[in-house]
Amino acid sequence: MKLSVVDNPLGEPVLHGTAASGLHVLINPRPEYERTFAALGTNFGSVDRVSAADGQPVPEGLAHFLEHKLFEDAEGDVSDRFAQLGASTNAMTGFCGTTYIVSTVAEPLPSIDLLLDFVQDPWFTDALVQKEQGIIAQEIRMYDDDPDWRIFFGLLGCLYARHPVRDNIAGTVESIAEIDAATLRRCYDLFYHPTNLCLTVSGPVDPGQLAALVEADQAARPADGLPPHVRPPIDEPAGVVTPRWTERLPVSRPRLLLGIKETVLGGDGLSVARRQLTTRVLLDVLFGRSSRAFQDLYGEGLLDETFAASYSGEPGFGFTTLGGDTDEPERLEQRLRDVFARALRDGIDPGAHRRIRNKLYGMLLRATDSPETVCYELLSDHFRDAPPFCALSLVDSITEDDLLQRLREHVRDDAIAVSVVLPTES
Amino acid sequence: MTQTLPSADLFEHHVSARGVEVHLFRTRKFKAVQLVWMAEAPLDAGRTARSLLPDLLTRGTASCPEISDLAGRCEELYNTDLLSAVTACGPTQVLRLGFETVADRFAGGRPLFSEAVDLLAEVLHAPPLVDGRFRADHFEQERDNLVHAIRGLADDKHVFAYRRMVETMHAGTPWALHSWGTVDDALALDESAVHAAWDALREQLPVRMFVVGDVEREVALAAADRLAGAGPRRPTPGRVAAPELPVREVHRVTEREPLNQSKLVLGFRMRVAALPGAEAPLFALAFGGGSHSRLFKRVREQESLAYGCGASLVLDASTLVVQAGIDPGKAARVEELVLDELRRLADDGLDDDEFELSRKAQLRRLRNLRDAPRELVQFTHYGLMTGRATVLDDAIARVQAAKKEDVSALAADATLDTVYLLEGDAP
Repeated sequence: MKLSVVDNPLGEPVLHGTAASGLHVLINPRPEYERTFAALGTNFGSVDRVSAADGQPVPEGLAHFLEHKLFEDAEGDVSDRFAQLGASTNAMTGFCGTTYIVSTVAEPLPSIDLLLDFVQDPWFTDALVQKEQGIIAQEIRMYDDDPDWRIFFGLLGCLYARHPVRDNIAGTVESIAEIDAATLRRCYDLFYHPTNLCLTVSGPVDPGQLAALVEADQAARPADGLPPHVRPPIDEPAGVVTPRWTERLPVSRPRLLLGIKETVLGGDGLSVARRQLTTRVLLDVLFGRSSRAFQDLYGEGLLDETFAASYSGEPGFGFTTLGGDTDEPERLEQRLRDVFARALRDGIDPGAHRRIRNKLYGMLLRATDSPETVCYELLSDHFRDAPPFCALSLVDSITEDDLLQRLREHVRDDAIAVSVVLPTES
Repeated sequence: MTQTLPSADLFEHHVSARGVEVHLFRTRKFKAVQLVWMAEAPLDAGRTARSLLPDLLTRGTASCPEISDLAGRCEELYNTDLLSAVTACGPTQVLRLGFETVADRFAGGRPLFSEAVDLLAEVLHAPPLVDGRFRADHFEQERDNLVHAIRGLADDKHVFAYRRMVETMHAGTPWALHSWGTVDDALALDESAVHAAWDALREQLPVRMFVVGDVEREVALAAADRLAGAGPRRPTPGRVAAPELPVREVHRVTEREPLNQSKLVLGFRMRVAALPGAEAPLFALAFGGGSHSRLFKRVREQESLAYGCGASLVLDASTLVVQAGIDPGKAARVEELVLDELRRLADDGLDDDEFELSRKAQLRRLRNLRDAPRELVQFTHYGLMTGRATVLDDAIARVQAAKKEDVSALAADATLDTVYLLEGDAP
């Protein structure tokens, strides 16, 4: 495998190579560190509910179920073998990906070898699937009691009519009860093949030795020749399903989450990255701690430190969320809408826009002190087909006019919904 | 005054001219630099007034009087993060202020660290006073926020169940108290009480200051004195002693909430004499500290009773805590399994594999600290407060020297004291 240097605006050392099988590898050597962190990701998450390859449906919660099941094989729990190597392992499933991680301060190559093995050598039996159903059911119930989780998925249910982003990542107790070993195998074969996987490593590794390890691993596996997974478009209306969701839960104080459904979809990796960054800068200018709106709303006691504004954007879906704890959810909702309306009418504060570059530079630079953050960023950029750490180079090209255009196209009345959690009546 | 230190210690330890303990890890390994200013006070009736200070002081300064002014200043300083928190270690309240910023060499030669120190000094010493008093609007609002924050501790049911167990187990002692104080005390706070707490914080309370990053010794010491006020500071107190808990019947408390999952928390008394070495953390790891542990294997993997069932040791409270999220109606079975595993550990000991996996896990945790500045500061601060190892290499050597039999023997020391069940009764 030939490794080539990947230029990036942070000057972080990054090497890229592709195995003969199609597996991509991104390496961030940092010889001064003790710890090596590696992440093996597949471009398969909870929103992938139909296989583009065979048109078959994928049950709700399957990506997450697969993540759980890969940790057990004919020899038992894979975590024990990582522990024998002095390493720890974990995994997480998101909307668009599943990531398996390992962290070690011991010699890293055996742990990375084991990471490649366990993700690529699945072992499914109906008895073990049944056992896992009980464990995942407990996980689902745990999240059902989490007010942050509930308000978030309550909002997505308002925003999306058909897109699977509206569904719980782990599925439901009922949906996972229908999963069996054969279904897991079928979906595994569709989504866990080399061209759909990417390995990122950050730590004191020898890049040449790591490349040789990956190449040897891939050469020992039969070639399948499957192309990378391409997410099919979902027939989703532009407007929201319902403007409001309210639930009572045992919390001390009401909380509000206002969401805006993205209606500008598609585009290549760089244009999605630019859309995401432009929206985040816009939200920062309008609602960041240094904004006039934050000061006013904080001063009036309508929001507190729990307030946050964020944007998540993919080619096929996207949404803004903003909110937090408040005693007056309806009044806060109106004031947030007023901030958007005022910006549409009066424009954006150019001084605030100028501060963002310094802020972004400081944020990204400090984040690269963490090997895990670097691995996750590299993985995310790879699957989006965007250059590493491209936000820093993109931010210079975002103008005040870009922010205004984003504001006009993104913030539309029929794309806004709110989710509210109220304290249980005593 | 400067001590000579063994070379294995990552930190230099100094006392500044104004009496601040300074712990400096000079390194160019990280792109960020952090400074943490930790003041200590008794966890007494004055804790609620003190716990208001970090948020009140980071609300604004004389030159950046509004929250947006201060946030804008931080953004201009390459997104400097102002740190503020209140925690406890045993019967001691710890007030934490500080910052994390970009190292000067990445800021085009700008003295960013010194600028951040100036900002923190202003946060600590120059709030936007009116007639010598905290601004009424800031004071009242941050008091309300503290009330909300204390009430909000009940929103995370795992944390809530843990707190209720601790309150039951340590009732009547400082170990039962939360570092933020109580809702009633927060509602009753007035400006004069908080002002007096601020006077003590900025001039008197003993302080330990930690700096990790590319910062020269003279610059760090100057920062300590810049932050210290008129001084001199009181010396840091002796180490926090863990309580010897009285033997008593098992206390059982069950409360109900409309939840889908019940939360079970078991509190075990540990003998204080058993806690100082490396053995106690190894025992907690083997018992319930990861996927190789007894509780994970038995409760989750064998019986599918919980997504998570783990054990952790609270050394400064002489307490072993076991927590699990379970189906309503399964609490008795989970408790039975936990006690059975503890009994088996006491009777039969750990096998070689369990011991080695626990040792490797603990060594990994400790070695990870060299790459994690925030956690390294926490480790060193906790060691200084409790008298445990503060030098990473010493802690690693102790783990390597630990014996399996000594670790297993701790199972016999753990005695069930409190069973708290937050029973879910969602329709």
